[in-house]
Amino acid sequence: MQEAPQIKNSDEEYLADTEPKDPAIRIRDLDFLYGDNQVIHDVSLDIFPKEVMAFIGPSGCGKSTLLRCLNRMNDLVDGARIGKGSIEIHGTNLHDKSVDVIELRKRVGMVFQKSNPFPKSIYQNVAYGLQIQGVRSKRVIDEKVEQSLRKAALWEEVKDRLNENAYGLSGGQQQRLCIARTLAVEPEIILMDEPCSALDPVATGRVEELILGLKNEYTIVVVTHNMQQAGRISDRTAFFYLGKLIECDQTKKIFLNPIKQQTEDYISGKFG
Amino acid sequence: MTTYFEHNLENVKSKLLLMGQLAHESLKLSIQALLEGDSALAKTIKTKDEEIDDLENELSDSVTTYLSTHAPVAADLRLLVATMKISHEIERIGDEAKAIARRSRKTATHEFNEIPKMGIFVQGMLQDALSTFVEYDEDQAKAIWTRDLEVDQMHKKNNQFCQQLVEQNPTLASSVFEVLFISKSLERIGDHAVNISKETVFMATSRDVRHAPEYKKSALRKELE
Repeated sequence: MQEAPQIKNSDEEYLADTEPKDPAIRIRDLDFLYGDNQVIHDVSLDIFPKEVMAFIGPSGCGKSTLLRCLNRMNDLVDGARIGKGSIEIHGTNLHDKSVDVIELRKRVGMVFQKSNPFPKSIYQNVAYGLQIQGVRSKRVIDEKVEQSLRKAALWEEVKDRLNENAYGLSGGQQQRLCIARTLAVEPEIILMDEPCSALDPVATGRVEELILGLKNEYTIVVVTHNMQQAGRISDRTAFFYLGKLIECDQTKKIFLNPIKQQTEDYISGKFG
Repeated sequence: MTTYFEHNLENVKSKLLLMGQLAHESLKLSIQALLEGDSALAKTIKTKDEEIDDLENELSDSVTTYLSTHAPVAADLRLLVATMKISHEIERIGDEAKAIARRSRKTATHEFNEIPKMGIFVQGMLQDALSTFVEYDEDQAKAIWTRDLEVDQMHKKNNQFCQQLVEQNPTLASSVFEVLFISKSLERIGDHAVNISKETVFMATSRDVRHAPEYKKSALRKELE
């Protein structure tokens, strides 16, 4: 088996096909620890604007931790800290003292594994982020709610019951509502942590189509255990194992002819 | 330890190789039937072709089931895709062998020119193409593509030879045409061996060389010159 080049983000073909562009997210030499337990080891990776990047790997490989590093969600965990390295978004180091974490999480939205709508109406779920940002105009909020629900491919299903409780929606609709809620505050980057793991195939298909539609406007990073999903929706795929980035390449290449044997074994289900 | 899934993949490989062996044997026997004028032997080839067809169906069924239930990727996916295509090439070789056997019973001439040599030559190509499937060897695969140029030359010579025969003795025309068609079948078998070896390149490396300009016959011919 041919050895992988040393450059970790090795997708030269991908880069050659596109205009040279600065990465939306630049991760360099990152070590991350929970207390004394190091869960991410020396990861360097670029994620480019308006691409869908999939993180794959067995449970405990650090992919969700890395995802949560990208909007500092790990700050909420006791003992969680960066050992070394940096994460930059458009050149700004996320751990700079000047970085406003609330503002950061507005720029870098997140959708979780299990849909988590607020116990409020459908309308209020989407409007909430705008209201806490201080938007008061009913007209502006109405427009944003409709726009976000349309982008989340949910508007046609809920437009006549916007004031009903969000818990009355199906699991797939709730997840799309959470995506609409994220979109309402106009993020640049959307992080998704196994967004379809609790959904049936029909709802999964809707969310996947939605992700493909959204990538024209947003940079999307998805953690998934579903190899076929990574194959269907992502432009590039990064494979992690035991906290290390093993291989990152065009998704087609990863699923047809990965460079590393470990990647091949994992995606073929030969170890997990 | 071999897992159940790996066992299924091995089973697919084994079936393909069995198909290949049967096609090789059919080809060998069809040439023998032609050269020895053995009509009974020629008849047995029809049965072999039916076995090949049955195996192709079984293989297609196994691959479809595996694709739909396991959604394979990487090397497993390439193996299955290549296997489907190679099985079709082998099935066509079986058909050509059957056609040779059928025509051997119709021809009355014993003037075969390059055909005996061509028969042995394409058998070797088929054998080597199947070997590259078992153990990938890019040089061996590429050598098959060049050897196919020689097969084309032999067919060309047979063509000229048959024309001369008909010109000399027009009453032999129908027998000579059968010989010419047999030569064409052997030429096609050479092409199928090339296609098999090109699929093995895809299987081993993910490179699709089927229509690569540098491996087209005209380019290979130029390279040889």
